[in-house]
Amino acid sequence: MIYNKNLLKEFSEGAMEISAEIIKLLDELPANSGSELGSPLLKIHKYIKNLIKSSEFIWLENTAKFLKQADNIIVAIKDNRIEVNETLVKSVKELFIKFEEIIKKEDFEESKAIFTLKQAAQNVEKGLLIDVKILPEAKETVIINDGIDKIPVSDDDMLQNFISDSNEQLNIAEEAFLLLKERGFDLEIMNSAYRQIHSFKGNCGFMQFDDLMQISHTMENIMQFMRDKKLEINKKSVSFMLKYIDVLRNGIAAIEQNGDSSIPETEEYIKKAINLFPECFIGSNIPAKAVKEMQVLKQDEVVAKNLTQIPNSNAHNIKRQDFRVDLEKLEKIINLTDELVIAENKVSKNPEILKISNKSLNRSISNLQKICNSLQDATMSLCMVQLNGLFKKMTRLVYDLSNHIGKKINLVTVGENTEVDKSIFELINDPLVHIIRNACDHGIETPAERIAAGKNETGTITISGENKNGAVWISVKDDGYGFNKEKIIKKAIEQKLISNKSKLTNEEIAKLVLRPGFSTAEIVSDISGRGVGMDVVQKNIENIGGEIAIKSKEGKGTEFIIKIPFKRIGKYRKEKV
Amino acid sequence: MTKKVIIADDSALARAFMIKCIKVSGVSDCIFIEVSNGLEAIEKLKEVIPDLLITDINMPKLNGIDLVKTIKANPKLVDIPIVVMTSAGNSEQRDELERLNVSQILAKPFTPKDVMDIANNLLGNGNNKDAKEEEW
Repeated sequence: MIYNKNLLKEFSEGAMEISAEIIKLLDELPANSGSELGSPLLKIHKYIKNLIKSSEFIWLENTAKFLKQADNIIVAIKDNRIEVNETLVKSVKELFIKFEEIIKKEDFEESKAIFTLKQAAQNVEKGLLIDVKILPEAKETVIINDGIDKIPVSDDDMLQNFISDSNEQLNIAEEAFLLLKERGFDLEIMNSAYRQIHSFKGNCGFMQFDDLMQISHTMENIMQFMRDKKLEINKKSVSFMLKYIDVLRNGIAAIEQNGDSSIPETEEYIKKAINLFPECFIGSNIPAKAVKEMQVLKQDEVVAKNLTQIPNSNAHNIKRQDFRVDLEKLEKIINLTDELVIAENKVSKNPEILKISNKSLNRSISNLQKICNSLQDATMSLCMVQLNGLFKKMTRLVYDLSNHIGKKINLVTVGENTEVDKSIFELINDPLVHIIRNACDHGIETPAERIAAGKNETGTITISGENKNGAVWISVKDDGYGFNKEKIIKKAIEQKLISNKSKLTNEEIAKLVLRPGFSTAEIVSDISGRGVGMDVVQKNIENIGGEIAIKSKEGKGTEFIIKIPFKRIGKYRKEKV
Repeated sequence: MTKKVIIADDSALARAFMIKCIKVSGVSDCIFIEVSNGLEAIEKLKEVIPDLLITDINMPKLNGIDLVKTIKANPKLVDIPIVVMTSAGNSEQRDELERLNVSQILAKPFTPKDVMDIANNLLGNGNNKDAKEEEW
């Protein structure tokens, strides 16, 4: 931990006062009701946020975790997920009283007491109102279980490589199957999928993840029959493969999270595969759990031979050369480059230098400027990722959803090559998923409705990405129902989001759907309809400094347009003063 | 509402320059509290929570960086917008300030216009933006 005593003292003094304020506000809570709750809650939320900021600043990680958990409770009360009653307020109050006691101590440090407090807060949120008082004393019972020690395999680096390789292999295989489904049999695509699963299996064997290896081996068997055209590529077989790819993916995720490589249902998965495609397993030595290592190896050798004979001409398989770089090093380069550009500006714009009219000097300076600018562009692009990975994920999502809800939906992607900053890339995934789920569930009509409306039976959703005016624009457009203005207004009045007199522009009406809790869906389906999703969309996008706009025409469809900044503000370097 | 600005700099001339610039920038209704080192600033912060704190780095007793650290470590003060004046070219110092998450770094030599822009940004409309972020 990197902090010094003075800062710690500063923190604990301020935190004591704020904590006292919070307790005072909590006392007021049960007396107030309904809409009046908002303002004390907001104050508490603000106070806690400040506590979090400071505690993170001086590296009190567990304290910050506890505070975040406490904040969760406050947010849950505000969202009406937890009912305010005296017991709840008392529990939260006790948390803060305990917190005060802990930070009051001279030698306060990140002790187990704070960790216990965090768990107590978690329990309060879950509704298990455990008496907080006794917990901090029972220090011995707290087991801080990170699970890291469980990973049996060699070293961390290797595991990380395995995880990222596997995810990539599974992604490519998934993409290949989606393509096969669309285009029908294609030997090259089939082989590319086969190769991925084959090497995945090999890696699993190497890392001694037996369950994953067995499942992928089963898949390989079936894929062999698909490749040899003994098994038809149809909805059944493709869906099966996609599902099993997900099984493998979940397995990898579990390893990443807690190092647990076992999949208890392995045998069931294998049995299920055999039941579905019995023809692929005649004479095969699966599913016996005790597959002899030698036999597997022999089989593999044959497969490997077969594979090497296949010309690797498919464009999909042209692999980029990658290697890992520590992000810190990268940021250093970026910062230094910015520094360089500023220094270059200072020199070339220096009045003394501007006075000199010497052709050769001018040429050198403009050359220097050019190089600096190219260097800056190049470093900028280091942290940029193409959107196509994200779009590919959406293809799979639409495929699954359309099967699930019985609609015919075609996903068109435009501008996959658009680049965004990696940190932004990770943050737009969730909003995009929500928007697409909504578009599938509420946007696109059922085939029968579409025919009745004179539209093509298959609905179309278009996602496009584009760099324009220094920002990234992502649009999701469907050709479905469009918004029904009257319905939205009626619902908004019912939910008291607007008064029945207010006059709204089209834009404002559309923005209503982004409000928390708003949903015009009569029935809550398992895909959407609770009115939570779109609220999340707006929050996430605003968090990264983006904007969202909605265009909709009844009967024609809806378009969500998201504008996000190129870079996450403040991440690498604040704008030059 | 009256805005409170704390200016910490050991040079009285520099403080006067700052105040002049902010006054000219059109931010009205402002009280200026002048202190000449970091320790004095911390003492003042116990009495008032300002809307803006402007500080130099090289000051006797407690320097600007340590002042910022103290502020950021105190949950009561963590939200105060901070402008730090630094000498240009010292990239190490700049990096450290960025890690400290100050609102603005003002690299010397700066012009009155730079100060005016910052004042407008952090004391004028800028403040509303902060308030908005804090909402649910």
